[in-house]
Amino acid sequence: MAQWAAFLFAEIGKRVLFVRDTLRAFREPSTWLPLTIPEMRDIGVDSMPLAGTVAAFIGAVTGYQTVYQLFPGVQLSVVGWIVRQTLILEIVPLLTALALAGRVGARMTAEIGTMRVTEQIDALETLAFDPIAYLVLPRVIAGCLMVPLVTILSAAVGIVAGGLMVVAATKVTLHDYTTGLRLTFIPFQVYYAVIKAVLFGTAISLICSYEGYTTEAGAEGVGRSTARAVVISSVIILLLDALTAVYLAPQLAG
Amino acid sequence: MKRRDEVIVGVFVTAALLVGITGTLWLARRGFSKSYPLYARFDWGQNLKEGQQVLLAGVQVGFVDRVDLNPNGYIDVKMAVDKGRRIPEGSTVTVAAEGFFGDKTISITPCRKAEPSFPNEVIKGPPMQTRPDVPPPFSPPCRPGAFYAAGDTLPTGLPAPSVEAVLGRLDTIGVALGQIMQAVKVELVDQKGIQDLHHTIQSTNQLVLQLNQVAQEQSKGLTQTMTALRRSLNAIDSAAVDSTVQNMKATTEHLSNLTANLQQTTQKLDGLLGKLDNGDGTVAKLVNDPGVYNNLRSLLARLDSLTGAIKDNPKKYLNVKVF
Repeated sequence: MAQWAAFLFAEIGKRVLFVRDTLRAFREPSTWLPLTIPEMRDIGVDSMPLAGTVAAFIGAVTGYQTVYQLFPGVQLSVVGWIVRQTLILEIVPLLTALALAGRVGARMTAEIGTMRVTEQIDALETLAFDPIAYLVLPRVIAGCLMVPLVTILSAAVGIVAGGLMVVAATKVTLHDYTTGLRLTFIPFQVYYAVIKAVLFGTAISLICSYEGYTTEAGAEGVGRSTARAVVISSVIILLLDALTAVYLAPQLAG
Repeated sequence: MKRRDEVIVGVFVTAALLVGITGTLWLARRGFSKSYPLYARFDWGQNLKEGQQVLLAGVQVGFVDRVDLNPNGYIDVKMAVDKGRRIPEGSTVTVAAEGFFGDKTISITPCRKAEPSFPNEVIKGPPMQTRPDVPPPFSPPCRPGAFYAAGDTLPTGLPAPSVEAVLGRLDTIGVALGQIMQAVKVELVDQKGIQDLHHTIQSTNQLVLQLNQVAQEQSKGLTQTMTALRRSLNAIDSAAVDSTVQNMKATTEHLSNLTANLQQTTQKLDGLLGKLDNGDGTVAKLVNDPGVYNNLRSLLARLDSLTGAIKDNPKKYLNVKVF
């Protein structure tokens, strides 16, 4: 038991120290700044097709399903309201983060892990480069900035797709849908989604970078680290989702 | 490559920020429409939230912009009303339930019209008060051309009945229903009313059966009558009818001729009578001339004397000799 507890706290401690090192790496902007833009493109722009497709289908299906769950007499504008609440508050931030954990996080871990097992990170240290400023910080900054933007665009895509679907395939009119979209809307709902996305993006990049950075045992270790990174980041995303709901959802009540 | 990445990322970030900001404003400000503030004050516990609809006579004219909790037992509500929508002065605000999900809206009830908007318009008065214990809804008359200005506070109208009031009313209805059911039970079960009802239904069924039989018999009689009538109609010889009609036509013509002849005769008689009146001709003179009459009388007198003389002394006048 004591060994297990020691192992657990050691793992937590290693990760906290890793975060500390990452924050320290901000002191070297000449190292991380030039590398941030390519990472932003990779994490943000290149992920948009995947995230947008997921959001479009989710939005369309949510709208379509909602129409057929309503009992008679319910105003049809409820469809727009449910689509908006579902997509902005929960589905889009969560699914975008999970999709990016698979697409971006796995690649991040594999890249850094390969550099670790091929001793390229050791070479960077030898050349007096801070490997965290060079490899981790640009990814963390890119993840922290781009995941919210991808989330915003995906939510817009999902809402538009939901509207197109319900207007084209059901008796809900565009006016009903837009009325529902605006019903009891407060800007904090968007801030809520952005806050979640920032947390998810930071978590993905930090966890996946750490798993890659601490990879051992050659190519097999890279595979193991990649799988572990995806699993841990997915679980952490769900945990953060629950925590943000607990702490921030009451403010959504207005 | 690096330059290209920068451009692409820049475009992406700009687009995402634009979509996020404009989308949020579009949803929150109802399509970037300009608005002006109006205020209202309600009691606590109205379940009002930012973003809820503000309706004027059922049409959305704005949304709830801010809800502030007043420690004196009120909530102060700031409403954002669309620039193009003017609220007539005298209108009142209430919190109304919307849909099945317990969502609330602020409902602005317009004031009563004081003057007609178009010729022959019937202006409704205050709603009829059906229950003396319930105060009538507050609906002051409009002042023509007067509207609330930005920053005004709208008076609060009578709120919709609370859930407790509705439940209380339901309880009352339930009690009344229970009493009715009890009375029905006493009448139908305890006092054997249901058996009477059963008998009545049986009697009614019998009556209906009898009526059915009568109706069937009547139907049979009617059918027979109709059959006989059809038969009689079929028996009528159409040729004979034709000849009768022809004869009647001929008779009619003869009657016409006769009438004409009678008319002619009448005319002739009229002429003859005219001549008689005028004294033309022998007959007329005989009729009209008193001399002739006198002569005739003297003639008749003489004839009488002659006849008397003959009777007295026939041989004087009658000398009959045979051979």
